[in-house]
Amino acid sequence: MHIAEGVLSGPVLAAGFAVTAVGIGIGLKKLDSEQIPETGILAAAFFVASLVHVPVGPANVHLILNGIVGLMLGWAAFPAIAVALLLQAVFFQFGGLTTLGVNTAIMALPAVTCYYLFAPFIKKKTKIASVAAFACGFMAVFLGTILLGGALYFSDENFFEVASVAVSAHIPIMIIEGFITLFCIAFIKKVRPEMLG
Amino acid sequence: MIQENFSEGKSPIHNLAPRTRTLAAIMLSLVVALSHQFIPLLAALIIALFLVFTARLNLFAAGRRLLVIAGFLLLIWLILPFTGGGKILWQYSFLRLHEAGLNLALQLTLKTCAMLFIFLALISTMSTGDLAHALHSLKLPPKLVLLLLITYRYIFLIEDELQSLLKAAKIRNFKPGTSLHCYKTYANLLGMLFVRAAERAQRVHKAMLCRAFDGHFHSLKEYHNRPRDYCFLGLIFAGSAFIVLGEMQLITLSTIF
Repeated sequence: MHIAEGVLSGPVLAAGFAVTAVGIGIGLKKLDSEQIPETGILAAAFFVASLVHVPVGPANVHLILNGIVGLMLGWAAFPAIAVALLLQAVFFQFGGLTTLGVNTAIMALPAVTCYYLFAPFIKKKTKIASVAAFACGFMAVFLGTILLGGALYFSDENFFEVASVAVSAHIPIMIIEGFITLFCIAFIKKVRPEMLG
Repeated sequence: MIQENFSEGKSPIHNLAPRTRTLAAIMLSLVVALSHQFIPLLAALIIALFLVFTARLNLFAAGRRLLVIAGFLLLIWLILPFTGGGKILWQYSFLRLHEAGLNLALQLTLKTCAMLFIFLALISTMSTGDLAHALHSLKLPPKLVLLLLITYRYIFLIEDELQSLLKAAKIRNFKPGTSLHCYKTYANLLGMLFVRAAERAQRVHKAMLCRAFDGHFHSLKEYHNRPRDYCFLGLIFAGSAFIVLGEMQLITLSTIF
């Protein structure tokens, strides 16, 4: 989920950088230098995991996983996602320098929001935990797409149709991310429960 | 597979200090991102192509990177000209070609292509280690640069791990399909990837502490600004200034010809 360079207007790009700068500031402040290697290796794992293509009918989509990033890293999701996106730009030319702020905000803001909304329920042993995990994966992509659509729309009103196509194309991804998050969190809870904060 | 395709090479661009290239890329990308007029955008595309030629990139490989934005551009060309406002240029039953939408689509195409090539020629021509060094000298928070270096260091290892997990699944006759079983398998596989990454992180951190890691990565290479760095920045500044003036319509076609 990223916007290519050269599409958004100046104010939207500036807003993206502002949000991301604040997010990274808070994220780095909450990270001891002790935790940096762990965060970096997890960021690498998310970078690699987002290369996995999952089939949906005849097509296939790649995973976003910002819900799980949020659950595991909290505010550190901002610097981790920013770094992963910079590397995606370097390796594959997804996004670029000027859109780094907006693209980070699109993925990291929902990640942090979902962390606050769902993290308290995830550790419970009841069915609520499963529901919360599904909702976390679903909402993280949903909020991200809304931000993506908003960034396009506020850049130029002519983008309205493009933005609505982009949002509706993400609906199956939201559902898949919900299930992937549900199963993945269940797996981690069984194997290494201390990883979930 | 993850590869740094363009970072090795011999060209005037590869000879510049990483910081020079990063600064030039930031300056040019910002100016292009804020331009809307046809002439400055065309000038930007010419500058970008010139940079790609100067960097002696493999033109076929560079052209293939256009595929990354092709999907988005196709979407834009299919939607914008028919929905954007403005004068109607052409009409056939319910299809109406609008002037404003067409202009916007053309402008976006020029812009994204120019910016992709600027990034390719200036940023992708250095290794990520050099980029981190440049970002550090541009006063990015040291913790963030450290995070970038560690992430970069482990991407390749973790990708190997993912490939072996996928291979193991394949050997057990796993065929991807649209089913809950498939998603569950992928989720467990990714969960395993994260668990292994976290365990690796603890081992690595202990090993780093044993080797007296104090939170700083020291680069063995030294970078100095040489005259050619200043010349290059001057040229890029002139190019950016031309684009800005064109955008403000102080330079128009009539002043050029």
